[in-house]
Amino acid sequence: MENQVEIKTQRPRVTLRNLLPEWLWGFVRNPKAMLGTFILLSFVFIGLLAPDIAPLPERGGANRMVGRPHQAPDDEFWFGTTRQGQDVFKQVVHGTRTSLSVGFGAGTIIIILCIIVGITSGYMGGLVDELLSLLMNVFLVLPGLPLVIVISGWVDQPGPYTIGLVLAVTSWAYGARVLRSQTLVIRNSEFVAAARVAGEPSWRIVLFEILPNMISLVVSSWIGAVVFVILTEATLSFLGLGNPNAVSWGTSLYWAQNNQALLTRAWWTFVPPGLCIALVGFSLTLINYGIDEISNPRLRSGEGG
Amino acid sequence: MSSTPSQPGQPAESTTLLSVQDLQVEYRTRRGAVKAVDHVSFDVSKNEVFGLAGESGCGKSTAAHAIIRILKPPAYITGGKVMFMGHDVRQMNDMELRRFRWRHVAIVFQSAMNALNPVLSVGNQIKDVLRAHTNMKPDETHERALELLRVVGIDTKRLGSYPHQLSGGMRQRAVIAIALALNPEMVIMDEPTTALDVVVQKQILQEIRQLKDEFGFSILFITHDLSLLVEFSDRIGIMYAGELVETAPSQEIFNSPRHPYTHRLMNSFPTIWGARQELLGIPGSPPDLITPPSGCRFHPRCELALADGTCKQVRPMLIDVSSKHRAACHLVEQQLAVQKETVP
Amino acid sequence: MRFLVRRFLFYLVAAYVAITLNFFLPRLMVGDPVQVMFSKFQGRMDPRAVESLKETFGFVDAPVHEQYFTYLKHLVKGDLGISLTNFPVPVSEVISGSLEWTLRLVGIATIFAFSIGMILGTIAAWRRGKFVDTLILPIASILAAFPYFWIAMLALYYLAHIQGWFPIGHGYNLRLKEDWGDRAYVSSVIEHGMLPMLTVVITALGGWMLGMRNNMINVLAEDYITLAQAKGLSDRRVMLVYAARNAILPSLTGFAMSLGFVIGGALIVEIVFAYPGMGFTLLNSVNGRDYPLMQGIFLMITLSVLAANFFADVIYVLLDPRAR
Repeated sequence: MENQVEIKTQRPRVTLRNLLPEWLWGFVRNPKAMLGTFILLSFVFIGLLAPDIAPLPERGGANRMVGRPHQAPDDEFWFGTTRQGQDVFKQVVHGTRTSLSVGFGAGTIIIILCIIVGITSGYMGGLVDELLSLLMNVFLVLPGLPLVIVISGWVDQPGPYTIGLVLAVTSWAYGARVLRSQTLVIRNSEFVAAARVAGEPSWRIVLFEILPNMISLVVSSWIGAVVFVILTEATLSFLGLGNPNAVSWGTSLYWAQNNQALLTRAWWTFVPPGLCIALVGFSLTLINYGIDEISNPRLRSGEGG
Repeated sequence: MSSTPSQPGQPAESTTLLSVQDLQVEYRTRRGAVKAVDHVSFDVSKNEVFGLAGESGCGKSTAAHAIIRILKPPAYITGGKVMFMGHDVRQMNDMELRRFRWRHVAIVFQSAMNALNPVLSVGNQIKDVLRAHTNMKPDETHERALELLRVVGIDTKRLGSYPHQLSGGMRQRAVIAIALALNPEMVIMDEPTTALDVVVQKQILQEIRQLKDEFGFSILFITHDLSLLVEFSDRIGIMYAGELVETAPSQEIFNSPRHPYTHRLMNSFPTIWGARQELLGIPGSPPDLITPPSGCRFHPRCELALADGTCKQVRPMLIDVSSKHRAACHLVEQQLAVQKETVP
Repeated sequence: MRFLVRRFLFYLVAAYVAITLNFFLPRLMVGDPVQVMFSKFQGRMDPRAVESLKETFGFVDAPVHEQYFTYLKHLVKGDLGISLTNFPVPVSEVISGSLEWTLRLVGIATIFAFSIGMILGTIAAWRRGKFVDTLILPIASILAAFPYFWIAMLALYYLAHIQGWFPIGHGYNLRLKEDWGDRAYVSSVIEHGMLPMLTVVITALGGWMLGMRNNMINVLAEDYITLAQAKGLSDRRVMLVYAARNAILPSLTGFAMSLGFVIGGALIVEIVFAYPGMGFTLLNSVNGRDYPLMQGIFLMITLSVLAANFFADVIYVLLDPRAR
């Protein structure tokens, strides 16, 4: 027959695109997400390899006096020294560990709280939802930073990790509310109704039907929480509310401010740690913009018109 | 209304109001250009109701939006002419276009809930048109707005109401009132009743008909509901995959559709006059318009496709079946050829 | 109206939670709160005055719920105790001295940041891919990801220390007396307020701008925008009355959280600039272990935030007929 259907036996080409799931392919192709990931991974490596990049003396660690006060950057001290003669480069490198681990640690606690409260509230509905929603809204409207400042006043010089914990306990409301509304949407969808009719237990529905369908929202809330914790922990340390002997970017900035670095124009004591906080915050925000654009293509900038 | 399918009243005057020639619209997507409207031509005369029908995604709404140039990126008009009362709409500059829209052609959208601004009162949304196009004083626009509400059958007390305070039917009437504000020569109705329940739908269609007779505007009526169209319009164009495949007076479409797709379409809807035949539906789904099928775009779904491969290879042209009836199908072409031979 | 009443009741609940937090926080901490809180007062006040100060915070020899009511009773009377760092000035007086500085700074900065953010967001969405969308938007959103205090430090360092365009810190020239009738004082207040204000506006702008842009983009896809354009309305009217007015509503709903960030940011900026507002006073109270003042400030900030939120709700109702 002439009209026989041609069956094309194309050999499937092995490309990156075929190997990755679609969302990850979208992520890899998004320039914002990739730039963010690159910056973030650089910092993760710096944090992991800190002892090799900047070996510490056995006594005194990164806070040990190793040079003259307020030395400008040179071959020996790449980022100069503080008023106490500490090596700014060493402080910044080792501060990376603190900031990232507090950020990701507390950020993870926050997102877990968000998931628990948000999904419970959205899925259970009724009185439970009313009460939890009220709680979320109250915590949302109470000014967060002053509350945390007051709490750290009571705790008296908490270390970075304690600050992270305080932040985790006080900052779950926003994410919880976002996840709650998404849960409501999914709960009313047909496949959940079907699962219910089929008699699946609630915990299975939540774990296998609802959670997988809001994974991108969970991830972006998680990243948002990490940024928030990193910035706020740095802020509190900067204010001198934390332990002044800790090695963290915020603490470096606290000492720079306290030692009149602005007045003496010792810019190298406050530019590098601040820039690191800014870069990490920026990279995570970029990743989140990327995720936003992948899940809502309309938002991309510079298209159409 | 009587039970006969269509009542085209007087035969439409032959003066052409709108003439669409070879209209082409593309959606520029990341995957490539989608030819949403491909060389579509049709005319609408004064006082005529012309219906465009087809499955969703066939390009009928896109074509209508292109006529008054309200397409949004990534949709672009890439070719053809749109002549309205002798003026080329594609050549108009922003000023001319603004004056042309609504004074001459107004549009009624599918979902009235989304077509009305939720934060402005209905009255203000009517007055907006009057303020933009006329020099009316505030009390005059007020009077005119009240009059328009009366015309479409909304209680004039509703002038200050907001869209969310109105029922679906009332919202649709309000949208029609806005469309009639400047007595346009033509109203494009893009699935105006699809979101309404059947009873309200019939009411509103009847009212549209009366308004049309009273004010004498033409209607370009777009719907996927062919049975409704047969009842409502004077002439019908059938679109498939971005192409116009058949045009004819409603009666003829109803009684003797020539294109296999129209045939299928007629049979895939329950008619208001009871099931004429068993409902057949159309096997397969509309094609991907980035890489449309070669030849006749309907051939992969067409059970009558010619075995010699003509349908697959050659693109059929719209040809005259009779003076008012045109179809684009090789089968029809062959039949006509046979007729010519046998009746010299 | 019902909407506003409901919101008002909600803010009452929120205020109540804040008040209760203030009561329980010291009691949750390890150690003896009375000891921690009042040890510094010992010897400076006569014992009877210390006793009455303790009573203000409910530290009476009674079960917790009675302590709680004692605390509430004093609060209702407006008695916030006595400040230690400003001994023997009452907390309420210290607060009223610094509140006006913060209200001015945050109030004006918020109005500026919000309106500029809304305008730029509108333009960015309206003219996709043009100047505002491709240049200003990324810069603003990068700035939003930066730590507030660091931007404040850089601004202070570069614009005040290096360039000398602005005075270095403080709310006014300290050689002048606080006197609003004195023109030199007024202009010095303005001069000193410029840079802190600018910093708060710049850091707060990005979030609102980005939010507005994204809302606008969603609204612009609505049928009523297409219809408005088809109606032949002017671009200005479509952009402002049809698009922006709808797109602004979610920003007002999310005002609570954004305001929280602005307040936090402003407090920090105050500290960097040694600006005599609530943030600066709060930090001093924490560093000076001035617990009565610390608690009083937290309460005042919270109440101000709640009031500002209620104000946003009123505007929301004015803009959205569906909420009426």
